[in-house]
Amino acid sequence: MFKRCQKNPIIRPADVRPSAEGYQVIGAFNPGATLFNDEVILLLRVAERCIQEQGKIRIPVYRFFEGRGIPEIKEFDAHDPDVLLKDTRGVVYKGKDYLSSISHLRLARSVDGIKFTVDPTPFIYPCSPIEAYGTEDARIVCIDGTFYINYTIVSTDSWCTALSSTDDFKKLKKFGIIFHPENKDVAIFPEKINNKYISLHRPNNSGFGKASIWYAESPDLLHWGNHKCIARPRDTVYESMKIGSGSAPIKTDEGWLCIYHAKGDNSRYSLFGMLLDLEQPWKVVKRSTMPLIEPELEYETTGFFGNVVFTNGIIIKDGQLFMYYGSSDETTCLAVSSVEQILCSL
Amino acid sequence: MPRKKRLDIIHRWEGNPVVNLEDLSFQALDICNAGAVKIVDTYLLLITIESLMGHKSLYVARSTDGHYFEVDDKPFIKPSADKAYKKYEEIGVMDGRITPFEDTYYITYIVESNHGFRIGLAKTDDFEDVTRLGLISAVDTKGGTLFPEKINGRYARFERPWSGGRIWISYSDDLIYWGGFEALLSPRPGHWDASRVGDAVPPIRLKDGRWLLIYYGIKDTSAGPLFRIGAVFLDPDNPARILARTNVPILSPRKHYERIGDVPNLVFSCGAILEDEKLLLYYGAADSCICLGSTTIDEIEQECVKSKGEF
Repeated sequence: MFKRCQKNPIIRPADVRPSAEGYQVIGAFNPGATLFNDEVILLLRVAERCIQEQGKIRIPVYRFFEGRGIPEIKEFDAHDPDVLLKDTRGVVYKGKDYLSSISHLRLARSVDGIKFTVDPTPFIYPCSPIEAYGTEDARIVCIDGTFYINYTIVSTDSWCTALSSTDDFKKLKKFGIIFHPENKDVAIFPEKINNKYISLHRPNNSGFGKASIWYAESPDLLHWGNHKCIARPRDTVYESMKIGSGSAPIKTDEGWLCIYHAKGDNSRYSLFGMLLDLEQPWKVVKRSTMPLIEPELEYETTGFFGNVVFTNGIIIKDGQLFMYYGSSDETTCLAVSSVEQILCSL
Repeated sequence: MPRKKRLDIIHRWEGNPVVNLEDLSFQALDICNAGAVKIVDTYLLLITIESLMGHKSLYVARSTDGHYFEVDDKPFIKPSADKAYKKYEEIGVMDGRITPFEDTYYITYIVESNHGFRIGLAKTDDFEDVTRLGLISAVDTKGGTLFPEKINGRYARFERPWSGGRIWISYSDDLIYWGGFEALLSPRPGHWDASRVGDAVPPIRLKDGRWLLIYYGIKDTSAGPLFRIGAVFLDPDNPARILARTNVPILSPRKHYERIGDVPNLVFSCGAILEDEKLLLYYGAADSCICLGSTTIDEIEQECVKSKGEF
């Protein structure tokens, strides 16, 4: 149903310039996507770590100064007894956690939607302690000419969702946290329904089973309420761990089309379709039983975190559905289909 | 003779507990905690009681002196049969907190289901009839203490998202849609509140304009969590700004009724009543009974002065 682009992966870590000297890009993946001035805009998640030297452990950290974040390197002696290695994800030094890689968000632009030029500098990056461990997985939605960007911010509180907006992909207006921790995978609808903004979100529910897709409404995009759980993970090999929404839902005659990710057995991620009622978008009308796409090709099965396909950026271009997706938490890929084909499959 | 040291800044009433299982006209598993308010000359508690089946509901209890309470036979708020609420309340409703607001009383409470914990909001004028206003959070959060007045034109509340173990503040124009989330108070490594903190009693406006927030702090030990109670003073105009925090707990589980019960070594409060300078704190002990302690704002203040920062 989805045709993978032959040029996949279309963006690799090597295509992205590091944001600081001594940094190294290890992932350019999970892009938000939109159309702007006849160009396809992607907002990539760029993961970076430090170039290492024998006998040292170097960790990327942000220093916060006057509302901005400055990427720096924290260096530990590998033999320092206070340094505790915490699997591959980081170190603990004197009780404080440091992550071995941090993500920011970077713009990439393309005319044909396949060949992208990546900006030389970050667009959204950690600017306060509540973002100290990174900004990740942007979703872009255009409402009345303004582009709203929501993304996951990571800190010692784990993760939550912040909102920003832009008119030109140069200047950014920040609105702060719209869903407290732990909450991510927020997909805002491109128009109001019953005079309210609508979003899907994914709160955790520690100790109560599997994280599910929730619905919320807002009068202003900043205050959210009337939360409802609308889809829970099914007891299948594909959804056995959790599910979460992806890009902004697409309006069709039959309902709102959503492509969501499912984390299944062995932490394998695949993508499913779901159709929500046009007027009452908390009602699930249809849901695919088999994945629309699952990790099959080598770039999807191996990488920083193998066996992952994850989408948070979909556009309709020349009547086709362009789904940009992250492969193995490392590269950006493209698969093309059409709304009609996906609707038929549900 | 050496001077006897005070146990805590909160002085326990010698007749504690105020309400225990024997005081009920029905059988129950346990009594957890209570919201509290004084209406004219009546002291009113909203007590979380767990049924024999294991489902929690909120019961009203009344007293003329603040010490001897009559508990209603029927719950004031119980898990709803209404479709909009049922799937989120099926395990129980608990931790009712009362916020007097203009001419009415808002009740925030926690609902539990296999989706997790959420905050519910209800309203009553007389504690006879109650109107549910909605579930005002997603899952994975507890606490939920509403301010008794608007802050810069907006409703404000505290809550405790599970992750991070911190107290957050947020705001609303209409009590339904909430935003402006900001983390306020964090656990302090090495202290009595090292593992998690949470909002306990709805914020109390003091005569000098400051806000008093009584919170609970948890320290995980090899024998399980220890629940204690502390206090912070907040800026009169911007309650997201902490002015002072007690370095030591104002109440710790010490008495046998606080140490022995369904959840041992626990003191936990959802309600207090301020009478002039005297603060009456109604607290749950060991998830088994309701107790009363009292102190003055000045005594809490003195403890903050000694604290010097550390928040």
